[in-house]
Amino acid sequence: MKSVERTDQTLVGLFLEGDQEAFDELVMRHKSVAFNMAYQFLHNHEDAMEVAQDAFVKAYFALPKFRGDSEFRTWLLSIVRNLMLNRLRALKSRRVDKTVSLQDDREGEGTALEDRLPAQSNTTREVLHNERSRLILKAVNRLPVRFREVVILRDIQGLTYEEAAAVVSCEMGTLKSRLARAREELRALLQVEGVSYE
Amino acid sequence: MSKLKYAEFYDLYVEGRLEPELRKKIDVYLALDPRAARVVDDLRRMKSDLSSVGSVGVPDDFLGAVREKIRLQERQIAQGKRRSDGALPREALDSFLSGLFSGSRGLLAGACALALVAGGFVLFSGYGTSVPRLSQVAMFREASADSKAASMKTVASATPSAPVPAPARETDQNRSEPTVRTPAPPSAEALGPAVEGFTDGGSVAETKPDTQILDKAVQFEVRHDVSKMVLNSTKPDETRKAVESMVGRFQGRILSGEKRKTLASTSKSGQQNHLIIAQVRSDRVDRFMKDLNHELASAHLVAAVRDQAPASARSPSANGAITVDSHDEEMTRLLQMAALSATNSAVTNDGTTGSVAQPGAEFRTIIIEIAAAPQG
Repeated sequence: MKSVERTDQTLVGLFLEGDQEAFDELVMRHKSVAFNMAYQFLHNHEDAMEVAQDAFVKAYFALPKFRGDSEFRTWLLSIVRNLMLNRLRALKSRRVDKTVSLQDDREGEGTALEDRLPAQSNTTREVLHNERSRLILKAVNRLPVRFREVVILRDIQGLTYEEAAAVVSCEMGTLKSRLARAREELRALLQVEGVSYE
Repeated sequence: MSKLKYAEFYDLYVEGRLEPELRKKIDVYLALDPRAARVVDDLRRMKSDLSSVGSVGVPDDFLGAVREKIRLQERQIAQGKRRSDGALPREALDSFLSGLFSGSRGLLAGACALALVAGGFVLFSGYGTSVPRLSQVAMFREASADSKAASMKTVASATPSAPVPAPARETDQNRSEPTVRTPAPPSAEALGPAVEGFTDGGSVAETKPDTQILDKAVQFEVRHDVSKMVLNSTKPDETRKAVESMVGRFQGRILSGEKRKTLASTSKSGQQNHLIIAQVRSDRVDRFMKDLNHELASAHLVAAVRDQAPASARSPSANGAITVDSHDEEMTRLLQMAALSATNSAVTNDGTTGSVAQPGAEFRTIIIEIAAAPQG
């Protein structure tokens, strides 16, 4: 008989009672969204890996203080976000424009950009799709951080308005207007890349 | 409903998350307004493109790596508790660290200010007699004069053997004298190795302690892996940027604050030297040194590296110890927290005991002092 899937809340409760496996289950359940969010943001596999892992480590030690005001996933992603922003600040001091390095990734030895795309395929259709995805990600990565994060959370990761607002710690109205401006800017950036929606 | 009001719902409309009633209304509206319909269509396609970007598979060992990190942190916490009588409550540390590294600008600014104060305070408090060379950090466990000499050789062999233009050297004998600086501007040939070795903080004896803060009333001691280097540069600002950039490249942290404006030490000659307190992952320190050396030399930024007291002059038992005295208990508490976060080290507050360098420290603290070398 198939066991009933336990909710995050149940798992958090079990963990707080000493069930370590409950935490493992939370990791397995949310590792993909945490890792991908960091990856789409930082464009670097190693950095994203570290950020996602550190977020779970922080969550592990902070869970006793987790009040359950929000969903576990939202809370976790807000930790990921904080760690990402710290990492971005550190990267910023390199004074290297990461969006430029994306292009380098494609042409040079790096493969970070291709890594990010779904598995390669031989069909022309999928090659075109991957090329389009590459251009889209390139444009997303050119957005200012405050725009980029809302686009990643809302449109790529598919979070709801409520969840995204909780992750970036802002009001719903702020999030909506930020998202609208982000899309406007993204549309312009995509046009430069030859991707038009008009 | 007005046109603007409808536009608010386009997003949810495209996602199919609207109530049927509202959805119907928008259907009707879009049928009547082709321009609005086009906007919705554009939005749908853009969202479709973005959502189809796809996700990257997470490596299989992800959970194992998380468990390992948790184990390591638990061990460090346990060690810290054993080693320090006056260990800080974890909640306080957690709170401090989350403040320091949170995304909130306000909190970050506050935490950075604290780190600035702490860093400056530590430096002004005369730690110089006991801070080890970075190149010796690996040798801490042996803590012998022989190991120090050996580590110096390692550094020398890791850098080019070009002649160094009479760097302003300090020894135990002349440390209290004003530094003699290289009079000639640097040339590519004469630059030699930009970072000859990490110095052990002898120059800090030159700093003026803030007597308003320093006192013997409250004392604590921090022992940890920390290193100091002094760069004599004709272009201090550019050098600072290069150092910060290098720290960033190594995914290190700059603890002297995001704004990095005020941290400086004053030498006896009255010169304000810029200070950077940085942390680099322990396993990347050697590479960091090499790359920094290369970067500064190739950019002709550093005229000389001030070499300081011979390693043999130090008492091995003093390795890695920083003593900060304060009459202000609150200040002491904050400094303890800053020092702990900055060093991943055990902190004691009895003023007499301390632990050896913590072997598992993930980051190593490096204090970089940039002194303005004379032009021409």
